[in-house]
Amino acid sequence: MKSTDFDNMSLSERKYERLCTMIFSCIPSSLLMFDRNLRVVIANKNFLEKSRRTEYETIGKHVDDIFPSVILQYTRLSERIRTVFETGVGDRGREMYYRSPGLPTRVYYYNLTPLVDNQGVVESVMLIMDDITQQVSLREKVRQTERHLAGVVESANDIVTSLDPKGMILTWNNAAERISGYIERELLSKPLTSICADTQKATLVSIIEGLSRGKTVKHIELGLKTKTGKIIPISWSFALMRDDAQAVVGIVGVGQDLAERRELEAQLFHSAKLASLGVMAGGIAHEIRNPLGISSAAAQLLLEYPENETLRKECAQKIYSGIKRASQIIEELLKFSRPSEGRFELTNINDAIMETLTLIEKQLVLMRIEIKKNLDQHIPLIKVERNLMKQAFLNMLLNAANAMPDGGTLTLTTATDGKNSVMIGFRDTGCGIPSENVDKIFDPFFTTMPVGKGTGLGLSITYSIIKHHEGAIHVESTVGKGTAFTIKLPIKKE
Amino acid sequence: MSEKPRVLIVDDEVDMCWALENILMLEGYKTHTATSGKEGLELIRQLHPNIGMLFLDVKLPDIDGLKFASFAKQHYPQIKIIIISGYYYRDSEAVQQGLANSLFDGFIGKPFNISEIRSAIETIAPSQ
Repeated sequence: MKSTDFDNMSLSERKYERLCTMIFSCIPSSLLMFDRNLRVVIANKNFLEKSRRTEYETIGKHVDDIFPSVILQYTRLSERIRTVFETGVGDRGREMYYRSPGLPTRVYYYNLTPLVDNQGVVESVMLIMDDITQQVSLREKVRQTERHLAGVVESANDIVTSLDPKGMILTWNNAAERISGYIERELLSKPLTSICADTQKATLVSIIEGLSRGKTVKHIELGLKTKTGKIIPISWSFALMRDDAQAVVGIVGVGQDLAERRELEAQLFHSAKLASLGVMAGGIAHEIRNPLGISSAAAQLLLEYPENETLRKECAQKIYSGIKRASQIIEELLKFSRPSEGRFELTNINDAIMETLTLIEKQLVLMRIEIKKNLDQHIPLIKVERNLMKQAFLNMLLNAANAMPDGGTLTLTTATDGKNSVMIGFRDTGCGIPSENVDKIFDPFFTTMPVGKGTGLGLSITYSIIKHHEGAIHVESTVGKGTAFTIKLPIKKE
Repeated sequence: MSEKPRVLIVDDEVDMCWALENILMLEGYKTHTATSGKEGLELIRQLHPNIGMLFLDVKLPDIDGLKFASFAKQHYPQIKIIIISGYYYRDSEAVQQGLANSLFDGFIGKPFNISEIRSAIETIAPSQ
């Protein structure tokens, strides 16, 4: 500025000038002002620092001498400034990649703003550059995360869907398309209830209502009606999407196809059952050979001494009762080894325990294990898969027997709290479980028994069976004193 | 003619005792039966001078039959012991070892033929 100009300024104009200079020097943007010849009139401190230039190297210089030619070429900056001078219209919102010598590339967001004099002529053009390097790299990161998330959702094996707060479908991933047979387009803006099994629609409606009031839901099993009309069991977990103000803006649902898992589980249960029969084989053989031995001896006596009237009658009786006993044992075995039909039936837990006990009671007696029964005679009936439950009980009995190789007492308890659950207790006076093993006892193949004595699957199968019934199993053990397992099964109201 | 030695039968199955009792009786033996290890030991203690043979089940509810056998062998060595079991086989290790160490004198698996009983008796107590 020439001194004559300064002299001509009024006091307020001078004040204004000082204010501008102050603002220029302290704003976090780089600022350059060009005159009509595209020469720099003002360069603020921020620009000089970022470009590592001195005021002397900058003021009065042509725009072409300020920026590297590469930048000038791709931004066509000189041309743009000229256009602003001609049209009086600013040019805003462009990105510029600028690399000062010796510094990493930075990204700027720049505006060209015309400054117009009293006659409406553009007097100068201001170039404001904001350093958005950080925002750009954040933006890249966000994009990457979004792509990653989308990849996860699309490659997931489970249904992943997002719903609006009313339960209308917004997204429907690959797995959802595969399981349901519906592609995303067919379901967009349709309620999730439209593909729910008819009998459970009301449940889903109330879940969604609860969700929009902020209640999350985990592992709820609902039937999904596929495009072909098949009902597939899905374990759903729902969570809420909230905005910054904590308002519910949507619902995310993750659904696991249980059909395949059920099938695998059923296979596992069955093979484990056969394995436990293998463990019992010796005892079972003994159980059958005894009545066979009696029948056989009686038959031979009958053949050798046919004339002995009293003996003849006795022999026939012994043969008959021996055969009845043997076939009863075989019957129980067959019942037990039959694959589970997957049918929940109202069951008296005491009966299920007693039936299981007949399979190995004799064996327990021979192991000098005393069985104490503490069964609640008024136990409510509960819905269970009877065969599976008996398998779980058998595993508990075998486990207790294995813990008491020198005999002991096994106390069987059933109890109820009257409305919510039924408790089944197995307390042995055996070796106990060292505390370092307590966490492992439900792991598959964890066993302290020698090879051939136990499969190591018993307790893990019991655990899955109890989980399958939405129950819980709890263990308390003292080394040298014994172990108490408590199974808790829910009483479900229909 | 000297009296045939008496036979003690120890098996927790009442009907098995019945069968063995009849077979041996018809062979001309006097028998005593016990359905538990404790009862069996008590009978041996009382009658041992007269008992020549013991038919013993292995799986007894109160005492391990093999322990019973070793106890009897130790204290009443004149009693010949025949193990009779539905649990073990003749070639089971416990049976092989027991025979080799003279823990008992014979083994019969259930179910059995009456002829097996006869030949077991013949082997351990050749007819006088």
